[in-house]
Amino acid sequence: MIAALVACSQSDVPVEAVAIDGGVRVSADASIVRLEVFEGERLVATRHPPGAAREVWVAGVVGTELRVTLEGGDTRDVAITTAPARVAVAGEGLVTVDHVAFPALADGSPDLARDADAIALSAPLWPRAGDRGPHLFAFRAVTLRSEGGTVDVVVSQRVLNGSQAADGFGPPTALGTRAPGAVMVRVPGGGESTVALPVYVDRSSVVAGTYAFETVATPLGGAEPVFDHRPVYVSRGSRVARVGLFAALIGGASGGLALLVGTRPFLRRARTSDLTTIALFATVQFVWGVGSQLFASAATTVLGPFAPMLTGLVDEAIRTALMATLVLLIPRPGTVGASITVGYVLRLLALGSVTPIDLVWLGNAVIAHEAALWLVGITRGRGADGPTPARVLRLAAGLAPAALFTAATALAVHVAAYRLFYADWYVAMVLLGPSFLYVFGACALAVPFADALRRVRP
Amino acid sequence: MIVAEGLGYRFTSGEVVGPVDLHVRAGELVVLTGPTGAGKSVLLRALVGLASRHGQGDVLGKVRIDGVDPADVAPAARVALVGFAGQDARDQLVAGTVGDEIAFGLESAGASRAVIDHAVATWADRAGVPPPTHRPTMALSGGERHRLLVAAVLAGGARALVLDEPLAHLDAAGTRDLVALLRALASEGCAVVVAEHRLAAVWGIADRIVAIDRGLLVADAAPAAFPYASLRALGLWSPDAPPATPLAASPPGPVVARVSDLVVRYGNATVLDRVTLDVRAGERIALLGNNGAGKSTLLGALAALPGALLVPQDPDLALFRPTVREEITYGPQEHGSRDVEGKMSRVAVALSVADLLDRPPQALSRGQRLRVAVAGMLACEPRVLLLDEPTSGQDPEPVARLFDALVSLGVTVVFATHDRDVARRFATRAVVLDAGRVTYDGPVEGVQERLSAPIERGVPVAFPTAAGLDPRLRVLLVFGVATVAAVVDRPVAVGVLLAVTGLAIAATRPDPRDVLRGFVLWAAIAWATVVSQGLFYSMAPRTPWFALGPLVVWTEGVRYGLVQSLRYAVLLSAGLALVTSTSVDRLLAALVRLGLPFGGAFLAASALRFVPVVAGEALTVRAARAARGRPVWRRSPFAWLALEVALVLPVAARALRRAQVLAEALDARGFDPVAPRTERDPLRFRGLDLAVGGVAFAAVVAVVGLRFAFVLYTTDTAWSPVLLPLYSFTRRWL
Repeated sequence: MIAALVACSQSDVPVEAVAIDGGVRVSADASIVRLEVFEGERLVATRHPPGAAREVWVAGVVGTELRVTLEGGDTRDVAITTAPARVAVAGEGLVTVDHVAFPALADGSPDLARDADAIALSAPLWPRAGDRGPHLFAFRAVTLRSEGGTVDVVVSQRVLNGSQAADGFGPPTALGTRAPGAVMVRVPGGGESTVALPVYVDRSSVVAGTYAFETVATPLGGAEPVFDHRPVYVSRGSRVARVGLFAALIGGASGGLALLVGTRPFLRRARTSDLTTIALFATVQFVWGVGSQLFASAATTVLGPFAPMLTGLVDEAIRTALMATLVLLIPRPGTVGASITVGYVLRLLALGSVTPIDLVWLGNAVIAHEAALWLVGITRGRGADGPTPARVLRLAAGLAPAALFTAATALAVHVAAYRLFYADWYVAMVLLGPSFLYVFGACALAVPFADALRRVRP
Repeated sequence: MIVAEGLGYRFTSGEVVGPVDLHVRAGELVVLTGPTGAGKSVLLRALVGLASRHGQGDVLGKVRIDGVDPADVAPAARVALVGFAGQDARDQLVAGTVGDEIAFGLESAGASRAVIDHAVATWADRAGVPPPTHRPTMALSGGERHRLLVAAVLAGGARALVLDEPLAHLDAAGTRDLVALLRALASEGCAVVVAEHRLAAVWGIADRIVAIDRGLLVADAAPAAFPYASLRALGLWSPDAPPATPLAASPPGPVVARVSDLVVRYGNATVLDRVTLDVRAGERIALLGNNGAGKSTLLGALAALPGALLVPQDPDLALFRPTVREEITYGPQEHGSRDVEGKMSRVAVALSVADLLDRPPQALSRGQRLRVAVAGMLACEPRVLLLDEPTSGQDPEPVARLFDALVSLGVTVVFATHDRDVARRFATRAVVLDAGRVTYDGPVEGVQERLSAPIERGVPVAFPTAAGLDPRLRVLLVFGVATVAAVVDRPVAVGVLLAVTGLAIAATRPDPRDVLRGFVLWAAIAWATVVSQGLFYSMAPRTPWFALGPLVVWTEGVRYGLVQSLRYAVLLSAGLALVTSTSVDRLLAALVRLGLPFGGAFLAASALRFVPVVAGEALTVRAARAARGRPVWRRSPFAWLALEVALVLPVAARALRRAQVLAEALDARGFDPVAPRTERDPLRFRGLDLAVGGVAFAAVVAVVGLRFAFVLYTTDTAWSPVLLPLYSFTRRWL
């Protein structure tokens, strides 16, 4: 066991450091802003302690020189020298881990801003500069109690995945190894002491799951270390949901821009009868939606989250069929966008539904449907003639992907905005059923509907 | 004032209406008449410049109104040139309130507010529409609506007025008042052209009668000099026509339908008051009375009796099958008849639709559609057939064909009508309703003297006033609440939001039924959300609550779903508070001021105004289908679903027709979706608005900012030790 006594060479502020088990503990009577540990000429570790820490534990580092920057910018270089440690010897079985707070701040107080026993990481959308390697996530405040006399205890911790040390939680070391960090603390007899152990997370490699913190408290002079195991839950945002959200925001912005730029020219060019037809189809869609809501409520009561598979047949499919019919009756760019927008504003007027999420949905729906229908030629005058199956397929080739994109992005926005959870199979089921396959059925209805409505006489 | 030379119209099929020459002087009232299909409507639309905008064909000849071709003028200028209105006023009213309706054309024309306010006051008075001018147009009676429509199309200052069958849906009182208004307008120098086949009502006020047939002029003369023979040849009423000869009546048989002491109330209004009526086999009963007297309600009550079938006022709403053949055979097939084809043939021949069997009903003329609808009902062999206003919009000839067929088939009929000539000729008995009471029940000959003075009765409708916060602020507040609801997570924060929105709703004193509907909707959403989150909760730690086979419901997920449901409740209640406290017109104005193009916002508002109408029509189609078919529980779910889906077509067809009418009404009123308009009642932020808005804005920014910083901290993205207390606050309370 080696203890190091660090003396400040140029200042009257006392500084003390204890190096133990491959680490260095530095304490000063002023807040420590920055620490640089040197081994000879080589810089082996740099630390920016969080908060106004006056005591810093640099784990897994062995050094000979120390540069300390104190609050106010005062920087000192100090040489590390060794000296014999004063050690209190423990009695057997008298030290216990009283309680643990995670996450905690550097001073050992619980971090009330974060969920207890949890590490929440954002979704790894793409490799971010600086993500690789250990990052200080938080501290664990381990409170030890001694029922006997004063005792010095070496405390270390590691994260276990099952019975093995988990990857991605080790502290940084000079040699890139994953040696566990450790710190020595003196526990007064009959009293307790708290030590803050840093928790490092490698954001590029840690995967979501349930792990365990293993705390090992070894009283100096004692025979048996004390072990403490507590769970820690690691969660990560969904990469798919993050991609969906990104697509939704891009799509929403594009659709919003299209509406901003295209609405006035569309309104200026359109015949009044086309505009009123769009409006009254929105009325029919709304009425149908309200009517089917009664059915949907009953179905939802029975089927819960699986109700969309049934209600989609009665609700979304018919409203999609009406929209498709409208596009076939007025096959021009802007028709479907106007229909979607009028329908949205109608719901706003009737139900007061005006949320940021609605606006993102609106943009996505408009851009996806306009683009898809233009690409398959429906709004370029193709699809009016020919055998019915071919017309149905052409229409569905435009509307089904558009509906799928709109529903997927809407789901992603809901998941992000309302922090919802869905199983992958459920998402796939809902998207492929009501938002894709049912659209084919809607198009099969729409073509004969449109043919019949073209013959309508006053 | 109006000069049309060689006026005509060539349809895309090649069929041509016209040419017709028509000259109308200022102060002259000209009635254009002719049988159904003569071309009256298309000529009128060509006359006012609408045919070129709305039809696929070509307008022929030359038209000048006050020296200008109406087809060439800009929308805003059209308002001051010529006023035009079609048949059904309900479909042509373009605004939500009386004042906005009269102001619409002037707003399109960019008139000053002073001019608009003066016009609104003047024309509301002239139309005989009682104050206040912010009364909803849906609260008006049929007669009031039509007079308002005439006032609205003339408020822009036009000195020419063209009306297409304005009396089609009016009762005696409405007819009398509108005719008086038209005569007064002509006397003040307005050139008035009215297309009408109810000649008896307008004969006395017309300066000239112009008769056309198959698009060509038959006669053009003052009433006193008009050749009556030409009218009789066209199957129209003429002053020298002998009184209608009643059709033969067989002695009434046993009672087939009966209502006793029937009382029907809508809210506080009593629509039928202790009505008793026996219908005997073989009778043809005419229900007479003013609009709102309770005729349709009584027919609806009779339709609920076994063996009674009702053909609604709009025959389109009884047609839901793809072909006429399927329409007629639907009922017999549903009831398992062994003689489906025989029944179909009998009624198809009797009603002259046998040559239409393979055609889609929606592609037929209105008269043909009416006969198909009646045929569909008769094929079910009802004990009594109920017809709601079968004469509406029809000239005498097709009505006669219909009733002749009914007589030949020996059908027991109860029909509501405003046309006393029809009643006199076809009915064996008359029942007069007045304000929900039967005031006469006896031979048709005795009816004339017993009709009481007309009453105007609209629908009692509550309407929000303009008091309170600026509607733009209300919209933004809802947006802010929704934003905050999305970012906060703690039940206490969502609960506070819910309390705020709940108080806002309570302040508007909503209809408890609306609140109940909202609650039911929320409960269904909440249930689905709780179950889904209970099943799919993926955060750790999670604790199994119970398992259903492989499906585990997690306690934390259920708890989370409940919070999420509260969030939905906030969104629903905020929306409800907005729409119950703000009229559609104010919301429309708010959206326009917030940047939505007028055209888009206006279309949405129009769509909303027609929601109750379309919903009523959908229910009518459904009722007509249900009356002829088996009950729902006696068919497979897929068959039921297919029938429900089939409802869409007639409703959509009706919407398409209404869209055409509305478009004409808008064009006649100078509608331009992108041109600048005068705001009659501009919105202005007041001190209270600014104070409330400022506080709300600060609160939203603070909450969103705190949550954003918190998320950056908890995901280890960025943080500052200075903000640690705020992170803790956010975690605990937000």
